[in-house]
Amino acid sequence: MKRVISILMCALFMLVSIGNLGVAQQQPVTLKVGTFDNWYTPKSFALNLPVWQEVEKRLNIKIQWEVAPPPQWGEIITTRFAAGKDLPEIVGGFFDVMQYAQAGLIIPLNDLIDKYAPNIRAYFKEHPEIKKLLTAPDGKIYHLSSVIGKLGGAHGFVIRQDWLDELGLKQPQTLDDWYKVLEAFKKDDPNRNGKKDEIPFCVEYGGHQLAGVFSWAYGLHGFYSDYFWPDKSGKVVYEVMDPKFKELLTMLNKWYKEGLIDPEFATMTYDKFIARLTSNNVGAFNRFVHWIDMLQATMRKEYPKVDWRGTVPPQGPYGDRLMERYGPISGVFVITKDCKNPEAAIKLFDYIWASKEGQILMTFGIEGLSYTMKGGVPRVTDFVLKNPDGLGPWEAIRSIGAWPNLPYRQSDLFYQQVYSPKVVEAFKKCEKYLVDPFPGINMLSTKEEDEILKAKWPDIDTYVSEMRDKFITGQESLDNFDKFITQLKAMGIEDIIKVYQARYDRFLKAK
Amino acid sequence: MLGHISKDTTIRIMWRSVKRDRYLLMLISPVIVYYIIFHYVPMYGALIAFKDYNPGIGFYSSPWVGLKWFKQFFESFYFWRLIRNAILLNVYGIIFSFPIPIIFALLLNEVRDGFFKRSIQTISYLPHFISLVVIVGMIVNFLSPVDGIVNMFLKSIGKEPINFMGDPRWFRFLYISSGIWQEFGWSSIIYLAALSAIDPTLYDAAKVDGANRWQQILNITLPGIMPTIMILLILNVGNLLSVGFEKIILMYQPMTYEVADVISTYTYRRGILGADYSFAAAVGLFNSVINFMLLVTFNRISKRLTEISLW
Amino acid sequence: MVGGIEKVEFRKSNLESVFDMLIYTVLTFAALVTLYPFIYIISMSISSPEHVLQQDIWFLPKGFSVGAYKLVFENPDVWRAYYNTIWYTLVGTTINVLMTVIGAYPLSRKNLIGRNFFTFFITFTMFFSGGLIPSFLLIKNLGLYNTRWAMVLPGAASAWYIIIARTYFQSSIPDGLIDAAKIDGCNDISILFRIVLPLSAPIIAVLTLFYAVGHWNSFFNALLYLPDKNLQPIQIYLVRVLIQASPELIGQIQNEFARSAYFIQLKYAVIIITILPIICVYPFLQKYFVKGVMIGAIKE
Repeated sequence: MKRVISILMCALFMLVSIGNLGVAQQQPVTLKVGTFDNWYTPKSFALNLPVWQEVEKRLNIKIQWEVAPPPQWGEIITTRFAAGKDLPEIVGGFFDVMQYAQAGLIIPLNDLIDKYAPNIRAYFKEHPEIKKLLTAPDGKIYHLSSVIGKLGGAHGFVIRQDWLDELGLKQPQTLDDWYKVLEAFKKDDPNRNGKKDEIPFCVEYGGHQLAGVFSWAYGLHGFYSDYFWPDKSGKVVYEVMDPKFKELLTMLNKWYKEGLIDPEFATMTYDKFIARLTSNNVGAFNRFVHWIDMLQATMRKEYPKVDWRGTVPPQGPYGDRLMERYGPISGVFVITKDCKNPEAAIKLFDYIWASKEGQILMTFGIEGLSYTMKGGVPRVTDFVLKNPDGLGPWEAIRSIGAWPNLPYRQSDLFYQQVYSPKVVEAFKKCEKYLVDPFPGINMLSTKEEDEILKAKWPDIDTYVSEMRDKFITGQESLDNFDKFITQLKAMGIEDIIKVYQARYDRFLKAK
Repeated sequence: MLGHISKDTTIRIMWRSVKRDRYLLMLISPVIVYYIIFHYVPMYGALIAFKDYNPGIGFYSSPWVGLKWFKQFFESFYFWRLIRNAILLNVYGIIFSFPIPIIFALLLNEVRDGFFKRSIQTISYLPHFISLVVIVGMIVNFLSPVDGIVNMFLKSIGKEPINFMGDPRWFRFLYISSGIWQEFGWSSIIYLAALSAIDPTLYDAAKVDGANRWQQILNITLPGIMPTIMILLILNVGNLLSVGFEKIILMYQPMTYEVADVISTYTYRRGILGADYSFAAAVGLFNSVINFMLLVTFNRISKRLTEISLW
Repeated sequence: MVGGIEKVEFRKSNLESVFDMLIYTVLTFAALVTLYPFIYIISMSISSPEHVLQQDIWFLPKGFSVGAYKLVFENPDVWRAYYNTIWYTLVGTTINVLMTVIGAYPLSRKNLIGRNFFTFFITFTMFFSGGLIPSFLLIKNLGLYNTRWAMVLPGAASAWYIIIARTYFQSSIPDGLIDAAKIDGCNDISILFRIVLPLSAPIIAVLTLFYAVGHWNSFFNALLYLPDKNLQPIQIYLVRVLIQASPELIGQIQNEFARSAYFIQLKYAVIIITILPIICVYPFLQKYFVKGVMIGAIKE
C-alpha cells in the first residue's frame, strides 16, 4: 500500500513538474522597449497596437513600451542615459552610439548575432555595405538601423506640367533649360490670373537645400553628404572649396536676383511651404517626390488643371547628373546593459529587421486587415488605400503599428502600391541617378575624432551656412569667395577632412 | 581680553535676536529646507563643467579636465559675437520693453470705469498664452515679401518690398517689438497689484493740496511702486546674458546669424552633433557667473542710488 | 475773482479730459493690437482646412469646421489628462502660495536676523543649479519618480516670486500696524495670518495667478518624471495629438505622410483649448488687484 502511494506520489510529482516545465516554457519574456513614439500620434505604441500584438504572439514575448513624442524623446533618453540606471532594455533614437558604448551603457551585438540571429547573419552576407556602416571603430557592432527604401528617400524635382504645357515648354533637362523655364514661369503668367505673382522655384529647407540639390548638377554632393566626398583616388575633399561650388553660387545668385527663387527661401517653414504650393503660385520645387499625391488631392478642387510631375535631376555644364538619396540607414537601435534577456532582444531584432516574414509584418501590417497575399506577393487592401476612417495610407498603416520606430527594412513594394503611378513614374526616371551619400557621414567616430568634430565643426558649419546664403542673395559679393576659403582653412577645415578620411578608410577596410 | 568679551557679547546679541525672531525663523524654515534639498543638494552637478562627463562611468569617476571646455568656448570663432548679441538684445529689451508694462499699468490705473478697465486688462494678457511657434508664424506671414500685409502696403505706395526676416538690420527691432506685443499685458499685472496697494488717502490729501493728475502720478503713484520697479529691474539685469533660445531659433536663419545667434542657440546647434553635457554645463556656468556678477553690481548701485536692493 | 477761479477750474478739467481722451485712445489701441492675434487664432481654428492650408485667412474665418477640435476630444484620455492638470494646479498652487508667503514675510522684516544671508541663499539658486541630471537623480532617489508629487514638490517655491512678495510686504503693509499688533502681544505667526494676509489680497491673487498658470502650462517636468500615461497632464496629451516636426529631424521623417489639414489647424485649436479655462477663472482673481474694488480695506 505504502509503495503504491509513493509511486503515485512520484508520478504525481513528475506530472506536476512536467506540467510546470510546460508552463514555465510558456511564460513570455518581457522586454522593456524605449523609443520615440509613433509618427501617427493618436496611436501611441503604448496602446499595444495590432502589429506588435502579433510580434508578441509569434516570438512569445511581452513588450513594455516606454515612449514619448518624437520631438521630446531626444532629451528624455539623453537624461535617462545620463542617469545611467533603470534604462529600458532596448532603446531607439538618434543618438551618439560610441559615447554610450564606451561608457558600457550598451552592449556589443556581435556575439549575440553569431549565436542567435541567423537572419541578421544572412542579411549581412548579402549586404556587406550595411554591415560596414554599422561597424564601430573598434570593429564591434553596437547598433542596428532601419534600412531606407529607395523610393522614399529621394528629394526630387517636381514641376507643374500644366504650366509647361500652357507655355509650350518641355521638361527641363539641363541647368540652362531650367533657367529658361523658370524665367518663362516668371514672365509669362502661366497660372493665367493676369498677375505676375508666380514664384518659379521654392524649397523648404533654405539655402542648404537650395544649394544642395543644385550642387548635384555640378557633380557635388551638398544635400546629404554635406559636401564631403572622396575623389577618384579615395582622398576625401570638402567640395565647398571646389571652384565648381563658386560656379553654383554664382548661378544661384543670378537666379535669385532675377526673382526666379522664392525670396523667402531662407525663412521657409513647413506651413508656409504648403501654403505656397497649394496657392497656385509655385512652378517647381524640390522635396519628397511622393508629395505629388498629396498636392494633387488638395489642389484639384480649386485648380482642376493642376498637374505636378517629377523630373529627372538637372544636368550641369560638365555633364554631371546625379541625385543623393536619404539613407541608406536611419535611426539607432541598441540593447542596453540593463537588458535581462539579451537573447530575446536580439531575436526580436533578428525577426523584425532581418527576416522575410518580419519585414512583411513591419511594412505591410496584418494579413487580412491591411494586406492580402496575391500570387505570393503582398498587396495592400482598402484599409490602406481607401481607409474607412478617412486616414491617408501612411496614417492607416502606422495606426496599426507598422513602419515603426524600431529597426526594420522599408519596402519599395509597399511604396509602389501606395503611391500613384505618377509618383512611381517620377521615381523610375530618377532611379539610375541615385547615389548613396558619403559613407563617412554614417560611420561612427572614435573619441578623439568626435572631439575634433565637436570643437571645430559648429563654427565652420555656422560660417559656411551664413556665407552660402549671403553669396546667394548677394549680400556678400562673390569676389570675396577666395577670402571665404582662406577663412575656412584658418578655422581648421583640414582637421575635419582628416576625420572624415579616417571614417571613410575604416568603411573601406571593414568586413 | 577685550576681544574675548566682544565675542561673548556678539553671541549673546545674536542669541537674543534669534529668540526675538524665533517665529519668523520658524516660518521660513520649511522654505530653507526646500531649497537645500531641491537646489543645493543637486548643485554638485555644476561641476561637470570641469569634467569630461561620461554617464556610464558616472559623476565621480569621470575625469577632471579643468578649464578645457571654457577654453574651447572662449576660443570659438564666434565667442564675442554671441555675447554681444545676447547683451544687446537684453539691453535694448530693458530700455524699450521694460517701461511699457509700467506705463500701461499707470494708464490703466487712471481709468475709473471698472468694466472698461478690466476688459482692457484681460485682453492685454491674451498674447502671453499664444505659443511662440504661432506668434513667429504670424509675424513671418505679416512680413512676407511675397504676400504679407506690410509689403503689400509698401508696394501700394510705390516702394520696394523688404525681406524683413532675412535682413540683419531688422532683426533686433522685430525680436523686441514682438516681445513687447506678447508680454506687456501679462507683465503689467505685478505693477497693477502694487498700484492697488497704495493708500488711497494719500491721493485725497494730494487733491486737497491742489495737485493735478500728473503731479499725483509723479509724487504718489510712482514712488509707491518704485520698490517693485527697482527689484524687477535688478532681477532683469541678472538675466542680461540669457536669451531664450526657442524664439531665436524660430526667428533666425543663417543670414541673420550675425545679430541673432546667441550663446543658447549656438550651444543648441552644437548639441545636435551629439550629447555634450560637459560643454553645455561649462557654457551654462559661464553664463550664470557673469549674470550673477552683474546682479550683484547692479544691486549695489541700486542700493546706493535708491536704497532699494535685494540685500 | 469768481470768474478767475472758474476759468482756472475750467481749464483744469479741459486738460484732464484731454488727458482722459489720450489714455482711453492709447488703451483701446493696446487692446486692439493684443486682441487681434486672439481673433486670428480663433479664426484659424474654426475655418475650413483648405483655407488654413493656403494661409489666406487674415482676420475672420473662412469656411467653417470644428475638425481640429474633434481631433483633440475624440480620445477619452483627454478627460483624465484634464483631471490631472486640475489636480496639479490646485495642489501645486496651494503649496506654492503657502511656501512663498512663509518665505517672503520673514524676509520683509528689516531687522530679521540673517535677513541678508537668507535672501542671498535663495537668490543664489536662481543663477546656479546642478542641471537636469542631478535633479533627475534626486527625484529618483527620493522615490518621487512617476508619482504626482514629482509635479508639485520640485518647484514648491520660486525665488523670483518670493522676492516679489517680499517687496510687496515691505512696501505695502504699514509698519505701524505690525508694531501695534506686537504691543498687543501677538506673535509673528498670528500677525502674518491675521493681519498681513487679509491686507495682501492683491499679491496673493497675483501669486495664485502666476503659479496656477505655470502649472496649467507645465509640460517638461511631466515628460521627464511621469512615464505613466494616467498621471500625465493635458499639455502632454495635447502634444501627443499635435504632430510636431522639429528642425533637427530633417530627413528623418522622409515619408511624412500627407497630413490632413486638421493637423496644421491643431496648434491653433490647442491654444484656444488651453486659454479658455484661464479666461474663465481669471476675473475671479482680477478683482483683487485691479484697483477700484478694495478701497478702504486697509483702514480696518
